[in-house]
Amino acid sequence: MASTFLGLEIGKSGLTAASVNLNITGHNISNVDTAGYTRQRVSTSALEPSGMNYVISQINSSSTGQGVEITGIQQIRSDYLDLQYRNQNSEYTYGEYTVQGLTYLESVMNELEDSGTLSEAISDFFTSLNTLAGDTTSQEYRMAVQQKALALTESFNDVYEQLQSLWSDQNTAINTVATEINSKLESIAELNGAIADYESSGETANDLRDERNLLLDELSGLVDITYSDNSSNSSMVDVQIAGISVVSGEETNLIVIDQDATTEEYSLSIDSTELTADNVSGALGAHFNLRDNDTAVDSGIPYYINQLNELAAAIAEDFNTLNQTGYTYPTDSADSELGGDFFETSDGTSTITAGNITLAADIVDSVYNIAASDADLDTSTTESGNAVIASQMAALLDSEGYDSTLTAIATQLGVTVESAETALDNDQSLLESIDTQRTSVSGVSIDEETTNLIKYQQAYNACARVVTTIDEMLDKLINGTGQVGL
Amino acid sequence: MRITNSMMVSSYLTDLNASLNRVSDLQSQVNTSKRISTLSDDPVATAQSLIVRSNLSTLSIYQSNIDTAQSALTTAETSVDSLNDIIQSAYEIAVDANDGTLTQDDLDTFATQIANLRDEVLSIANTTQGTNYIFGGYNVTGTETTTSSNTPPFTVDEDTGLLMYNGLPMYPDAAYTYGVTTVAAAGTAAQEASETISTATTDEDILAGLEDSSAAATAAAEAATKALNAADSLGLSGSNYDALVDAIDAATAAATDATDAVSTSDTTNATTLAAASEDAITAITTALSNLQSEVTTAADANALLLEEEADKTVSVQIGTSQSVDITYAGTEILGTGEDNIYYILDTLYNDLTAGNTDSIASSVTALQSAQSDVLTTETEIGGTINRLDLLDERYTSSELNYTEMKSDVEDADLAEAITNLTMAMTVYEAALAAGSNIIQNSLVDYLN
Repeated sequence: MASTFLGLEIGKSGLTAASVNLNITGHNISNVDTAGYTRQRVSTSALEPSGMNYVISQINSSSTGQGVEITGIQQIRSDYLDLQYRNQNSEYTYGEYTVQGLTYLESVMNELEDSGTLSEAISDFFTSLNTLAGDTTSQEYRMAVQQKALALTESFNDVYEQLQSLWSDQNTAINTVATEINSKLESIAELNGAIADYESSGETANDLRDERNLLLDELSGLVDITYSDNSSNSSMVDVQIAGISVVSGEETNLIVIDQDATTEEYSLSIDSTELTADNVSGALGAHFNLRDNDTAVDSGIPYYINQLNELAAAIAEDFNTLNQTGYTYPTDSADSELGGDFFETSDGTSTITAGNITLAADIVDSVYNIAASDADLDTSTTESGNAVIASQMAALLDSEGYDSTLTAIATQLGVTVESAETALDNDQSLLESIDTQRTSVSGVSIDEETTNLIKYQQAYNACARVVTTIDEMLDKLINGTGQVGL
Repeated sequence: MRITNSMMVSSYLTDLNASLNRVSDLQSQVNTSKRISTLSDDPVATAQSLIVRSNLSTLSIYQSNIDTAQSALTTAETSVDSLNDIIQSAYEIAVDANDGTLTQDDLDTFATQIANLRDEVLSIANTTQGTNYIFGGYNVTGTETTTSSNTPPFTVDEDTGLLMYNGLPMYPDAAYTYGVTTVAAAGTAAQEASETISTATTDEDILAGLEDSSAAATAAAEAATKALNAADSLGLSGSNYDALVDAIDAATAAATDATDAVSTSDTTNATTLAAASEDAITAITTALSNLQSEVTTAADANALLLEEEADKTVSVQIGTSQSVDITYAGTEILGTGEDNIYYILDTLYNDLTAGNTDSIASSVTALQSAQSDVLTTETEIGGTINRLDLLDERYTSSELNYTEMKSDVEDADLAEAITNLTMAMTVYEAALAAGSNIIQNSLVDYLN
């Protein structure tokens, strides 16, 4: 025979279940906007008849269940979609930061502008040279060449400095991102500990897991990761970067950040394996690529700096060679002699770069040091207008094609940026589609939750009615029987 | 598929953002009226645009050089034309003077005119464009010497009287040969004078003979001096040179002695004096002949130097591998050796003042051929000016083409851009309106 108060127990279990459901529904609704929140569901199951009752019920063939029990509160989440999302997120942020960096690069080297471009400086310089070749005795023409040459070197210097500054920004970003990664790794390890503690009691730490999942999402944006459940405790998650373990249970193996004292370049390593653009992706990979890549494929800032340096060096070498074969124009204070360098370095080093190219001090001092003639004007006194070297200098633009080189650099940059932007658009669409699917599975739908509210409220009312009914019955039994005549 | 509110909101935001991006791009196109403003907007168009800009810049260099050249060439053409006029005038004078019936006074008048024309040639040769000489080759500023602050490319040497071009004598060999020829003629005259004296019957005849002898000796001395000047201009010295100097002195002395005898009407030593003149002239002839080989060698070397000067012209670039000279070498304008215009006029002047009517005919021929040379030069310059005009026109039309190309590639069709912008704004506003309606509703609104 069933226990007297079984009905009350059954009613009570129903009330509890309904109120827990209502609470969870309320929890879901209040977290509708929380980032990374996964909707929760109460899992209930019918309580089986108890062991003793079951034996008796076999005799009596009247076993009843004991109501409803709450077996747990679970999250509705797809691990597979999470994995897809995180992989795609790394691709996406790689593209995002690459485009961002390249867009800055593009604005520094924007040859399309109407004025102030390097092409314009080169073109003005050669115009002044052509004018000089028509009359090398004119001080005005010589001054024009001097001024335009200075403007050219200043343009080179300026672009170089801006590129260096971009490089420096990417370098700093590497440090910032690495620090952020380390901080997230530590948080994940902490959460691992907390979740393991909580779940040792058999429950699921839903909200803590949400927090950890959010961290993993954010981490995947910073750097591409692989992760798996910890082999000894499945409540914990192990994380690897570039195949090397960085979080194992509650232990962390953080990224080591070193900085070179002279170049200020940051280098990252885990367990003495260096992280480079080759083994990481995500924002970190993007910054590495922009800072380090000097090849023509997926070119980064060093590639363009090198191209500019080569152009500056080529111009300097060609002009220096010519100027050294020519003779300067004699003045009251100086004889006509073989010319020196036309361009020199401003920092005393021997290699000319776009950053240190400057007009030779001799020519800055006196425009007559532009060695325009090919004969010593002190001995060949009747050759004041000799402009052989000046003509050769003016012809360098056609023969060496400096403007075409610059066009090629600019075009390559344009193509690189354009293809990066297209790739980014594609990555973005893909990421959004995966995210949509994720949200479809784990997001909170207010309509759905509201319907559930109604459902559980009705359930609660019904169970309350059950309790009331049993109460009345018992009341009748306890207080109403054996009271004949009272 | 299960739809949640956050999905709807996030997809709404994404679409709005895309729409707003498009509006922003189009707006930037309308503001700048440029279709491409960054390298990545259209890399192919960017490459085309940069190439076109580079071509435009090169064209403008060529056009500016053409302007410089045309200006220089026009001045040159005018000068050469004046040169032609001078030769024409000289030719007419020479033809008139070639009449055997004129007196020495007439010849002197002509001589003065020729001298003026000759000096004008010098002045034209030193024409300047602004401050730069245009017929000096590389010598555009003139040279500074110890005696003057600015020596032009063409000068007449004060000691030798020869025309110098950038320090080189222009016709030393011709001047020397002229001297030799004139001395030979003087020698013949002296011989005739001696014969006159030996066959003379009266004192008057003897004195006339002596005068002729003196004149011959003087003419020989003057002609030999001209040859000596030519040798001087080549920088010669040495024993042969000194021998010539001595021979000239001897001839001058003989001429003086003869003139003295004429003025005192002393006929006693007439034969001796005439013989002395003859001997002096013979000595001169010998000295000249001895010096000839040195003169020839030096003159040949000088000619090579003059040829080198001919290549030294200032030029400007007017096309790929195309250039045009903006100064000329004086050797091309005035000629060298016996074709030299100054030499021809100077020789004519000498012949007129000395009364060498026989040589005037050769001056006439020389002037004719000089005129034809100058006309050729003038035509060449004119032809070059025309070529430059045509080139300039071609470049102007090329410039137009390139500018159009640049505009096609770079500029936005304003009407199209504004239309697209309006459409994009409409789409954006529609999205805003629709979204605001959809997102607000949920089941909560309908529960009571």
